[in-house]
This record gives sequence, C-alpha cells and structure tokens, in this order.
Amino acid sequence: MTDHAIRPATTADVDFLAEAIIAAEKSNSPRLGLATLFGLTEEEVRALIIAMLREEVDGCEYSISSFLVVEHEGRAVAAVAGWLEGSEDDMPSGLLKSNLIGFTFPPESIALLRTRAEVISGIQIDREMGSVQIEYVYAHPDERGKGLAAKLIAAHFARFPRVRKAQVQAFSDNPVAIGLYQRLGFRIVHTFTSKNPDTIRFMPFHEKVLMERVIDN
Amino acid sequence: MEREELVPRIQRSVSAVLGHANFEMRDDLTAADVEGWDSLTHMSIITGLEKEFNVKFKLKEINKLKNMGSLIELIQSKFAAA
Repeated sequence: MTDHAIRPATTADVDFLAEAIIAAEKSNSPRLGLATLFGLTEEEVRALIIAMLREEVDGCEYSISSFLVVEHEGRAVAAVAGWLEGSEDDMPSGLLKSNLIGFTFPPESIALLRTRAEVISGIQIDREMGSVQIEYVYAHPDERGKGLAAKLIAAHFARFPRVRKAQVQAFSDNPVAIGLYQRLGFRIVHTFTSKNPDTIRFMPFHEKVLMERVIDN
Repeated sequence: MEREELVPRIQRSVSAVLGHANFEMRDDLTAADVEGWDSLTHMSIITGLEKEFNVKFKLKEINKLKNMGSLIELIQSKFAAA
C-alpha cells in the first residue's frame, strides 16, 4: 500500500463519500432505502447526502469527521465511517442522523416515511453507547481485493485506544461483507428479521445481522 | 409561554406520533426511556412540535437536546425571543 495513504475525510471528499454511502446502503441490490422509503430518486438522495455531510454534524454516519479515506494518485478510492457511539453529548447517533434527515429532506418525504416506517422497524438496530461503530465500508471497484477496507477499519480502532468493543451491521445476504468482518474478528451476535412482507420491496434485504468484536489494540 | 401550558401540549404532540402516552413528563426523561421514541419516530416528533408551536428549530438546537427538560427550555426560548 505504498501509494495508498489513509487520511481523515475532508469537505473536498463529499462527492466520493456520497458515492460510498449510496453503494453501501444498496448492499449489492438495486434498492436504495433512502430513495424508496422517502419517495426520491437516487440522484435526489445523492444531493441530500452531500447537503447532510456539509452540515458537519459530528458523531454519526453522515459526519465527515467519522470517515477515513484511502487516497491513491490524488483521489479518494476507499472509505469507511467509524465513530464512538454517544461521543456527542451522549446523543445516540440515530437521533443525530434523524435530525439531519428531518432538517434536509423535503417535508413530503418525511411524511411519506411516516407511512412506511413499519417496513424497516424490524431491522432497525440500536447501537451500543460507548462502542466503536463501523459503517459504510466501501472501496472503488478498481481498488477491491487490496485489503483497503480492512486497513481502514483497523485505523478506526486505533483512533479509539480506550474502547474495547466495536459493532458493525450487515444485510444477511451479503456474504462478502460478513466474511470480511469475520476475518477481522467480528462475530454475529444477533439476527434481526423483518416480518413485514413489503420490506424487500424497499430495502436490499429483509434481514440484518449485528456483529461485534473486542478491540485489543 | 408558561411551562404549565407548554408541557401538556408537548405531551399531546409526542403522544400523537407514538400512539401512546405511557411516559411521565419529567425533565430528565430521554428518548431511550420512552417506548417507540426511536430514530424513525424522532423525525415526526420534531416536525410535529414545530407544527404544534408554529416554530422552527435549528439543526444545532435539536442536536443539543439532552432530555425533556432541554426540549421544554428550547420551546420556551422560541417564545421568549419572539
């Protein structure tokens, strides 16, 4: 990885971070929950993700400060978000994310989500306060197979030397992601299955796993 | 606006979103203490309160809300500033 350098993301990376977020959210499916649940197109969602990132709120998955990126030949080619849950005044990241969406998305989209909340309630997973959260693991297709995601996740662990637990979530039908996390020491601790038959129409899959590992820096 | 007037209106507005009123309006009440107050309902709770009191919250203001006490204070401050 001589010419692949890890660095914190900056506001100059927002387009790439939006690409990473959308790809990770879709989890190899054609369905982007942020679009289907809110009645938006993928391009509208991309613009809204960039707007959320530009708010520079810390402590959740839409925080530029949560992301580390790999730079290669002057451009970002891989990204992973990681943050300490509850680091911002003990606020759960889910509420910070919720505030960002509520502040940024059109009111009619928020109203639409309210009618569709049941679709995802079964696969909403609480994050444990005080643990390192890993999200949006992404490498550009040309850069896969080089171990960049693993190095980014390890770099996140090193940012929080006193924290002993890390959590990551994945859709159950994504063996590549689950396999990567298992190789990095994560184990499945819980499976969340939506009983709602419409979940699969809106989301990549109807089941998610919560994985955890002890951090022993 | 007086706190005595504010508190029941907040409770009604939050209950309307959650579909229940099984919570006490204590100052130290947090979202985690209330059944159903999660990241999905939170959005509707905030927009519902904005509608109820005809106010607009700033992102920075709602990101600092620690508990019910700070929510009550924030809404009071909107009327004090008006």
